[in-house]
Amino acid sequence: MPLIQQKDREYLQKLFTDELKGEVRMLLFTRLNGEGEEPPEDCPYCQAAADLSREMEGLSDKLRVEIHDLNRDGAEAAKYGIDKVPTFVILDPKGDDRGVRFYGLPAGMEFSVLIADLMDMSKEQTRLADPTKQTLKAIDKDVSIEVFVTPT
Amino acid sequence: MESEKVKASVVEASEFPEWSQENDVYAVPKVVIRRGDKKVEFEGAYPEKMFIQQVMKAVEG
Repeated sequence: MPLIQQKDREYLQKLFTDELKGEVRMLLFTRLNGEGEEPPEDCPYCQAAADLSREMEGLSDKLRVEIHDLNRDGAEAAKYGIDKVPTFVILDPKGDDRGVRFYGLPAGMEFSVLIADLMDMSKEQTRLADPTKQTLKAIDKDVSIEVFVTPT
Repeated sequence: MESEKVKASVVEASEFPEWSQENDVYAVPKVVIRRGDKKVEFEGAYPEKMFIQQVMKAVEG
């Protein structure tokens, strides 16, 4: 059974056709089961994250999805500093890492956060006000912002 | 995205209980901002201006 319902697929396909500008790459770092293996106990949503990612790839030509197994793609994981799964990384149209991460399965309302991130990244533009952007551009020290959420 | 210095992550708290516990996450949304040793945190969805004020507290504080 697909994770994204048919009517939602249609909605998202149209949304992406209208809104996606540059090509974006979404990387998923997860742990995949081998043939006939049980899903990893410590990552109950790893497989669902992979399934969701594959479904998302069909939504637009401007969305490229790469699924990486943390166990097998150590070099790629190290490149992006990934130590937890599932983790989504969104790269901009130049293929650069802009420091945006989504940890966990983006279920419920959080899925729309991921979709919004993809659209912003493809336009390389956020919806922040100009004064906010000025303030942010002037920051000269490394800052990390973590937003803890739960699916609704 | 607006700053090369800022990294932003959304974390599904229920899937990462240890990480959530380390950050004393009891109510969501909870935002934890770190700059070096300095930490600024708040619960709830702040409007943009207040959110950025909290970020600057961490940067300048």
